[in-house]
Amino acid sequence: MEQLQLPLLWLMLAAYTGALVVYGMGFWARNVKLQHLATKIVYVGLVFTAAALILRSVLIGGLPLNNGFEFGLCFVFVAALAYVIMEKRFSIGAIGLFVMPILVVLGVWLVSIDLTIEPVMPALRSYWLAVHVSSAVISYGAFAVSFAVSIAYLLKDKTGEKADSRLAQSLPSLKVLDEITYKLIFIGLPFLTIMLVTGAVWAEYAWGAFWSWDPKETWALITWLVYAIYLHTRFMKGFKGRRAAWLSVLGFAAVIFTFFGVSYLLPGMHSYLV
Amino acid sequence: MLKFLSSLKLAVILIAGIAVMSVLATIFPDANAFSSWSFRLLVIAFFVNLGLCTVQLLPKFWKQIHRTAADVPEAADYKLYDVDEAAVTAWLQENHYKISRQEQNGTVKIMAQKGKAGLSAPHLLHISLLIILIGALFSTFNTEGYSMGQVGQNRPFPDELQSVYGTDSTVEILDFQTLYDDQNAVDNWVTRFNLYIHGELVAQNVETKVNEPYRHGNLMIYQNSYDSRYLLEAQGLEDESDNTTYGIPENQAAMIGGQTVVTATIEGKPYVQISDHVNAPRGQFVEPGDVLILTDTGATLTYLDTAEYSILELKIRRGTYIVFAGFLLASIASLLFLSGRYRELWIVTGAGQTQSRIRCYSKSSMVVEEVEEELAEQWPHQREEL
Repeated sequence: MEQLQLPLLWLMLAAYTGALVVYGMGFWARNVKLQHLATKIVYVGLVFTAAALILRSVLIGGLPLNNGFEFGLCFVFVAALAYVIMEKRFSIGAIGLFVMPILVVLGVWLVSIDLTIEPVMPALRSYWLAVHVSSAVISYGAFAVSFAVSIAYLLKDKTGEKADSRLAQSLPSLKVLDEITYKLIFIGLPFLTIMLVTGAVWAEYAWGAFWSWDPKETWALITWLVYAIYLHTRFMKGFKGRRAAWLSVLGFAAVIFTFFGVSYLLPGMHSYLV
Repeated sequence: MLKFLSSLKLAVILIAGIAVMSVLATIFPDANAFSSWSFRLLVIAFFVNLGLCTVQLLPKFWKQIHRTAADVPEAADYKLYDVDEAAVTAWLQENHYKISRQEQNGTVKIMAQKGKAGLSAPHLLHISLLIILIGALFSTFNTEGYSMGQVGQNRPFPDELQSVYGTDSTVEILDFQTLYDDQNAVDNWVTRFNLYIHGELVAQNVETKVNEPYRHGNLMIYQNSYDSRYLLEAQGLEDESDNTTYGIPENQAAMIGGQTVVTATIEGKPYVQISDHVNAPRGQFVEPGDVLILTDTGATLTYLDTAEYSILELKIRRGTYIVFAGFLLASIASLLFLSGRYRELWIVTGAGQTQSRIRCYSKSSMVVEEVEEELAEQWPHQREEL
């Protein structure tokens, strides 16, 4: 059964890559039917991702949240799910062109890392792990899509709302893009808060210190601060538009650094993630 | 001055300052930035900014949640709907709006509010952040250190904690075990110990393990890790003080009698190598009691055993419960955020009238659009604006 993991991951990667290509073709040809087809391919990718997650759960006999690979797989699943929900709600097929590269990059990373199942280290043998990591996964998934929508916003903003370009014509209005970004961050931030709080409670219970200024903790806090600034300025001052989109991009850069950068460059108490 | 101190601009500057300092601290961890006074001052400044801002916003919040029909303006950007008071009231009740009604000179005014919990969320979050900041400030004064010992040893507290507990506080290690699960993977490490504070036994035969630290007031003792050490007894060295038992960590070198001694475990067996840096190193697998020639003057090393040392982390914690109270409040506030955005419906109609003027107010234009769509679906014969 363990050998089935890689083929499933390749199928998942192929589906998201295929969706990216078809979204690209639909965008180039200004063909809505191709966009719809691409969205259907994303559904196929989502099924393969779910299958890979279920297989991993069976293999390890629990929730697949114990290491970098398992977190990455959940991250892909939630990001793809967040995208299809937003696509269904707001009919934003063209945004797939910006979301798929994220899923493809994560997919390439997943097929290239070690999939061997190792025993869970003692420090992670806790029920807190499920709440802590799953809330991180949900927030990261929402932030990934918000990042893609913000990039779309910035590109459309640059070309001009009413220009006769493909971007201007195929993407939703700037107002809708801005609102979708906001909604996703609005969903993501509470989960990031839950992640930080449950992490602190778990650390206090397990290690006797709710906060250790470990690099992963610190970068998670930095990420939280960036998105908190986004929401706070929006609530209080109606901060919208280009600057808000840049803040969303900055927030996701912090997410990526927290996930990859810290794990590879700044090892600490969370080093078991990779 | 007060306006600037409570401003959003200052908040953004301070948050960005905390973020930048945190980034630098992760890149240069040796600088101990988080316990520096510059970081503490930044946190204090943010506390003052957030505190002033919270206090200033509370009266406005209080006024808003207590708005009544008297606050419904006569003139606003109303739209006219073909609906009478009874029907609109029934719809509002069905959609869980809180209604306030006022009738004056034949004119009926209705203030309908929904999402008050969501409106309170930012204020609660502010208060929770203030509490967390206080606790976090206390926690920057935490102290911690490591104590390492083998079964039977009574180890003093680490130097870092001696300013609080003195030199006569110790941990006497009674037992140290590695626990395995049913698949033979390491499940946990457990140390049983007696705890002495100022020479007095305060905890007897207690244990600490990974994920289950032992707590005694503000003191926390955590099973941080363990270490294997090769116990080698030197004999026959010229300097008598060198004739003692050495505990050498695995895969590390130690200088004994001018020789470099390296220990390792190869294929599960203990191995000792001796080098004088002139001749080729001499190495062999050893068993307890084996004697190795250390120098050509007749000095020897006797392998006694491999001992496991428990490494305990001792911490003095401050501010934990304050921070946790803040966390609890922040969690409640986060849930309240998800309960929905605040909106008001201002309705002006009259007794016996079949039409009503309705206006939706919300900070979110999306909420206004959604509500107006709902209204248009209910009473599609919407007319031109007045």
